[in-house]
Amino acid sequence: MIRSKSYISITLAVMIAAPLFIIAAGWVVADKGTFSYYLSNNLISIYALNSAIISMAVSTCALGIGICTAWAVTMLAFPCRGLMEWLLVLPLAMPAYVAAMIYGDVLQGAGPVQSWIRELTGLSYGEYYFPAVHSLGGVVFVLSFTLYPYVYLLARSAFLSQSRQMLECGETLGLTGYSLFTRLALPMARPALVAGMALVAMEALADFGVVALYGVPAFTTGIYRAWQGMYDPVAAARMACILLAMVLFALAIERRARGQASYHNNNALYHPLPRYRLSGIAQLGVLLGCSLPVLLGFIVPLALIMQWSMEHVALFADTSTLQALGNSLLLAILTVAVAITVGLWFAYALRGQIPKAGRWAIRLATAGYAIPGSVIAVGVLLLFILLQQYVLPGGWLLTGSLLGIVWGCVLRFLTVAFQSAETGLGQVMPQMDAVASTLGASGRGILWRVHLPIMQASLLSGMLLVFVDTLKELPATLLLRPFNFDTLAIRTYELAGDELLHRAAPTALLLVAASLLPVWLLNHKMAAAGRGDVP
Amino acid sequence: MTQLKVQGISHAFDILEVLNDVSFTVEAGELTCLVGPSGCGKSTLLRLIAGLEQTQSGSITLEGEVLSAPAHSVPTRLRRIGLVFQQPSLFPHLTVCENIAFGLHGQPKDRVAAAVEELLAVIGLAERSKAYPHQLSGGQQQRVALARALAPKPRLMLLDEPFANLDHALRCDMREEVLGMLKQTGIPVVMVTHEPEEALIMADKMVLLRADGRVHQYASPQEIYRAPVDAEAAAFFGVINRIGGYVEEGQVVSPLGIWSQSACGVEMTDGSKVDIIVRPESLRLANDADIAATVNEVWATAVGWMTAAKLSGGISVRFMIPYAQGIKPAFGDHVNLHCDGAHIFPA
Repeated sequence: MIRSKSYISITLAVMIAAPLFIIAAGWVVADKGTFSYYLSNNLISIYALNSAIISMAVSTCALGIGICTAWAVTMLAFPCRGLMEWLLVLPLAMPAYVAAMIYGDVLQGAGPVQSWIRELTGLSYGEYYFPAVHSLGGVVFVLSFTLYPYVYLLARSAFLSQSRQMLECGETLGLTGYSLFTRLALPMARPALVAGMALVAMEALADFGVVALYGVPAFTTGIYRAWQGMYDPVAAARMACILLAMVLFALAIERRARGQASYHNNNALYHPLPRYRLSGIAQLGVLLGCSLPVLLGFIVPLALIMQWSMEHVALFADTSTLQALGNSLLLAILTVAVAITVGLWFAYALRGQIPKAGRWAIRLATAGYAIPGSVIAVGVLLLFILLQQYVLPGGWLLTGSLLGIVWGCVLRFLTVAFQSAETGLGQVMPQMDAVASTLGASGRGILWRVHLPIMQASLLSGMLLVFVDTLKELPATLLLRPFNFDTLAIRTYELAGDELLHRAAPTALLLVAASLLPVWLLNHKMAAAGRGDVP
Repeated sequence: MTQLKVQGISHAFDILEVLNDVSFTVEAGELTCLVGPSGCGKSTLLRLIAGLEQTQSGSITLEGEVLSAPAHSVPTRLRRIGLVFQQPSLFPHLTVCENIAFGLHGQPKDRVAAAVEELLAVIGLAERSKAYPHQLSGGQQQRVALARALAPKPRLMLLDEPFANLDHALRCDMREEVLGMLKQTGIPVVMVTHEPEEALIMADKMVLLRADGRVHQYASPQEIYRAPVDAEAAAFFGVINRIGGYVEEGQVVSPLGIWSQSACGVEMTDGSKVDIIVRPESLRLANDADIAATVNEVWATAVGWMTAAKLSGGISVRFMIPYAQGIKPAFGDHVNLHCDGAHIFPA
């Protein structure tokens, strides 16, 4: 019985992860010459350079914003501190391509900001310096202010979990405010900070929407172009491989940092840390400093989307919007159902006796979250093409089917479902099973009466996260969608790409509204952790 | 009628043998302690009795019903055996009341309510019935775990170091409380413990296991204290003095005195070497005694001064001077010792 379950788990894991193996095949199959054309025209090195610059610059900026804001809300006393603590997470709910769409419009030459500058100074366009938003700098700006919460959250939790005694020891040894921060708190939080930075770097590498909207050549846009423009899946696969290598490098850094994460004391019960009182002006400065990332990363884009949406209220009931909403919901529900079922199966498989190969297969199948959507999409498409050529000639048309898009989304978001199942199952101590069976509960009884109620909260939050992530996912859905299958994300991106920004606002608003759900959940969890509650 | 009969149980994990031909019985109302070094298979034995591990050889019988044998195993849920771990393992999503009622699933509501109420009163947590496990202290959680195990009226209780996570004072209170509760029910109990003191207080019988998973000695704790089968068994109850001696003209000769060879229990020829075990509490100060020693270390314990002294031959022994005697030895003091008793084993 155990053995057959292991085989099922391994087969399932290998099947799900198959697209990841397939992209490596891109190096052994001949392409249509696109890759060598890209190579000879230095396009590959431009993609590599831009992707590397974007990921490094964005992660550095996000690190700065994340550390400063996290330290401020954890250690300083200033007005509205509690409110800022959770407002600072909000940019997580702003899909980067939506923010890019807004800033692309607002900051361009004909946009309101530059018009206002011209009105104020009397200068004409070109007579003053204003950084171009459709540029590498623009990409870094948008991604930094939408991705910094990753660092903020990890840094905040690291600062909070630092033992009060440790900081008090530092104080008795003569450290105060600033030196306490630089000599003790910051070095102790280093693993969390590196992990946060690596997460931001991975997200920045995976971004497609922002670079595409701003016309910055990067690997994700290169992959899309090779596939959709040149119809060369092999070239796309080769580029996907290079991008994957860059992501794995960032992932390796994150894993290494996480390996040392025992710097700070996770087991300490919550003792509120003493907060430093500041003078009036300093308090105002800190408040403004903390407000800036929230304003730029969330409130300004949201306000503009809302304003534009109000101008096009009728679009909410438009057939194409409703159709996109319906498609998004269908895709999200299917993805959640498959991902949570498979995630639970894998979590149980790892809890039991499973051979090492099985563990590896499961780890690989559940690593999708770190892999850019475009890489996954290329893998799925390539797999389907090979299947149609060699296994199902004349059979179903797999490419462009709902199966492909669901497969891609499941592979991308299985990590979240699996981790929530694993976290939930982790709360079920093995002794509980033993006790429940001595109390007369059967295997099914243990599942329904003990496991599922204990895992309920974790599973629900996992389902919610997968649901919203699927709604927001752009590159994978864009490449894998069936013909005429628009989702909210695709519709927003396409309208924005066609310069119909105001018409994209309603769908963008729906996306932001949906994205607020997991952020609310996250804040709820943070508050519970802060109080030391047992979930 | 013998309630629990464990016969010839051997068990291995892959090539690692953890239990080796273990046999013992537990009568109704009797508490048997499983003791021994870490890794000697105590917890595995408990899991085998509960049916959480498949028996490889030997058999386990409860009230005449064979529960486990190599080709036969009654599922855990049908065994009606209560189990309490070191960690209370309460179900975190259920209240105290619901935890206790877990094993009464399917019974009429009023009967469940009455049983839960009765147990809540016994464990003194009637006012916390609606509390969740994380709102209880460690001791309270363990009491709920015990009540939960007792609720379905098990035929046997298994306790796996149930007090190990509690502080000393609470542990002492809980021991008495739990012992009282269990004796009241008359259910046979098997308990794993590391604490000699706990075994002495609670156990009617003790199964002392060796590191290789064999039964070292199976008797009452008092008997194991009074007549250990060897030096290792004697050492279970704390510090011992272990010194060498030899047989001469039918007598055992040692720096601590001379004993008749019959005290050894086996016939030995002259010149045979022996191990002499003397507990610190068996050595006492006596002015007229002829064992001279020089004090070289003294430290306080709960009951008296534990004193280390060197005998004239350079052999070091430890002995206890109760505080009631009003004597505090000092480094370099010359003392005379009298030995009240010793255990003698062939070396």
